[in-house]
Amino acid sequence: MLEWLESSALARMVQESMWGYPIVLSSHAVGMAILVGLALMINFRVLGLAPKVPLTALKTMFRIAWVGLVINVASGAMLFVANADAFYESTPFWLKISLLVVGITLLVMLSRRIPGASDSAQDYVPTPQVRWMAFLSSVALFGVIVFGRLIAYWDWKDF
Amino acid sequence: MDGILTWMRDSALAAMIVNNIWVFPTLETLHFIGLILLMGSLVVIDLRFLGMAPRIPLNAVLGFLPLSFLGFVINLATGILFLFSDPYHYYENLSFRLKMLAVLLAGLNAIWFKLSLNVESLPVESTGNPGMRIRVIAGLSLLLWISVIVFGRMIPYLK
Repeated sequence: MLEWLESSALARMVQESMWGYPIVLSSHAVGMAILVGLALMINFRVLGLAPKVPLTALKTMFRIAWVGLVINVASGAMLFVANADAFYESTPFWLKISLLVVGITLLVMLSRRIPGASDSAQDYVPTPQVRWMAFLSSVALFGVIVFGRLIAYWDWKDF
Repeated sequence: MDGILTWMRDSALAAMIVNNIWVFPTLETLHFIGLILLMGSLVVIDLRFLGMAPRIPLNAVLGFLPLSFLGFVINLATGILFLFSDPYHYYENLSFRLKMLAVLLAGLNAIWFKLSLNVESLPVESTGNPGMRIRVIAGLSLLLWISVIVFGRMIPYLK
């Protein structure tokens, strides 16, 4: 399975074209900035930063955050197939993916708790439970970045 | 220039970074966290000034600006430490030079933004959208900072 992935046409393109790998890496960094950057700002607002920004309006920005997620799942899948066996055996890679699933699940739960554009002039006040979702998803996403960076060092000989 | 580069390369600081295996990955992780804070806050502000989420008052969204400065300071500090670790490599690198040019242009663009806010005397308390000049500046800000990320990621490849 892993060998088949690594010899697929997509993997070849990423491995062999001179600009394939750096372009995919750059996309992964830009997608990270959009997804984690926006998620953190919404989380920080839930936790009390910039209190004059209405949460019901800021919620719209989740749509852009999900664009970042799509960019990173796509570019991440391309990086994975180009080096499938090394990633498959990498401990920090699986820690990263686990924390990503936890972080995204918490973010989706949080986004569903914030009401969308409403007619009432009152802004949504987050419950303690929603504040915990914001805090824990921020911690999980920080972990995604830390373990993502460690992939290149933990078993550095493989990369 | 040669004098400065040689001094940086032979400094005790450079030896500390190069000789401890955990220092460089730690600096890289901090550089990514700074990137997230800088880009996340600027994406929210720029998207708002481009016209997204018009119910957010323009002056309220500027409440995210302290995180842009925090992220920039983290990345300036960690970036200078990267320079010390291998000054000749960075100085001669095409992608690094393009990245620094993009940072400079983004800085000038930020000054233009500040001056335009004063000149246009925006109804910052109100919701609704700013004029075309402010929108152009916000769009340029996004493009320039994304190019900073891309050129940064390209440093090992575009020499």
